[in-house]
Amino acid sequence: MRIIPRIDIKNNFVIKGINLEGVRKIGNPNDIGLKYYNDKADELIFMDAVASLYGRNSLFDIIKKCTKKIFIPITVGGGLRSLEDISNALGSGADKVALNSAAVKNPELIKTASQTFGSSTIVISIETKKNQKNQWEIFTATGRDPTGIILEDWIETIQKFGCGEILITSIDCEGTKKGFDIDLINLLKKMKIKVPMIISGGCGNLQHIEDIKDKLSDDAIALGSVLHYNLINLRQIKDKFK
Amino acid sequence: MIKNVCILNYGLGNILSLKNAITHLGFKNNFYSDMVEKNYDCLILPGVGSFAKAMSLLKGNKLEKIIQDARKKKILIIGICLGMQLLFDRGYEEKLTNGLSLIEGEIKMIDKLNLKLPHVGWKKTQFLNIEKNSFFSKFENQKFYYVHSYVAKLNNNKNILATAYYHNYKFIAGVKKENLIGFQFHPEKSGEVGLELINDLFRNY
Repeated sequence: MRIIPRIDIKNNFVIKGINLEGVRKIGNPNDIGLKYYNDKADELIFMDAVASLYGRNSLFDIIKKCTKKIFIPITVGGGLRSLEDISNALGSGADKVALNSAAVKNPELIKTASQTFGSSTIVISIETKKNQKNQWEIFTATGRDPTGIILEDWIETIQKFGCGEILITSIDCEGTKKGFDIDLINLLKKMKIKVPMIISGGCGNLQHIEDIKDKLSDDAIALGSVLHYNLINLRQIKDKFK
Repeated sequence: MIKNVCILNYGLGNILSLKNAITHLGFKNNFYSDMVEKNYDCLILPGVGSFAKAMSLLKGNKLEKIIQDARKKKILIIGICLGMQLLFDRGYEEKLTNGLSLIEGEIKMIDKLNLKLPHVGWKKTQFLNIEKNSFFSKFENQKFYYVHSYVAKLNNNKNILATAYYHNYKFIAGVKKENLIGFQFHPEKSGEVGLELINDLFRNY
């Protein structure tokens, strides 16, 4: 199982919220990225937490600097809207891009992007929680905007359009450190998804990883708070879950 | 010892990290398009994207000639991921496309049911067909980072440099033939081990 620190960024600072809301400053993205690299992270995810709200992306300069010293795969997301944005992200040293809002608005973008840059470059980021009808619904703009799209349908669509990986965040669990969203993971397992997944949201200790590790095969987990607040050390996780 | 590395920048995708890795190791390098003096002694074909798309950008133009010239001059040629796959006769990604035909064989999709594609992850890698004191033996069973859906099928097993497993599916992880070396994994994305492999390769050539 791949272990991927997820670094959310706002105005050049690493930040962390709860349920994708109410952010706290954690530190400098370069220092934090380098620390996780030295602690043997399998990959890194950098997310511009506010880009899609304001339609901009300030991450590229940070990525340019980071990738001079970090030699593991880097996924960049947040506010990427076009082939040009993707090209700029890759040109800054990113290996993969994560698309959410733009893909929901225009699913054809997934197709053209994967044909242009290779499907393994295109990660679709999904933020989801159960709605009042007890269905898993897709949200955009860091968990703010409901889309009316049901998770199962969306996952089918994005696979058809050629996404290479799925980053899936449980909005209700995100930042809580109370454990991964077991209901969601069980549903995903049942769906027999054909591309690798990155499960994000909720991890607070080693037991939480233990709880889900048998449900994931070629997938990954994304870790935020648990690493940022030093609740567990990345090396500890890597030693336990080789 | 390699003194001047040329990175062939065709097409799309992230080639900056390869440049960053080589710079970090202290070797002089540049993208082909930015090179003023073309006296390089190592040519790297990076690779992201599809076989068909990449060949359409290389075939029949200056870039293909650069590769063929390097081949004749016995300059070290390193293909990484798709860059390795392009060295073969043909590929089946998107559509049947002729490759550079520098190594005999073809590139086919991982043909094992129930395996997620692309194959993404760090895998222990085994090196074979190497001399006793080769630096490659130091990397036996080290983990390298892979991301691919297609694999090389070789006509001649002597050209196999490395293999790895995706669950119980064994695939070609590295190839070699005279001055050609190819890696299916990304050494430039495989942390300190990957950097060490690049470093040793450059110092021992």
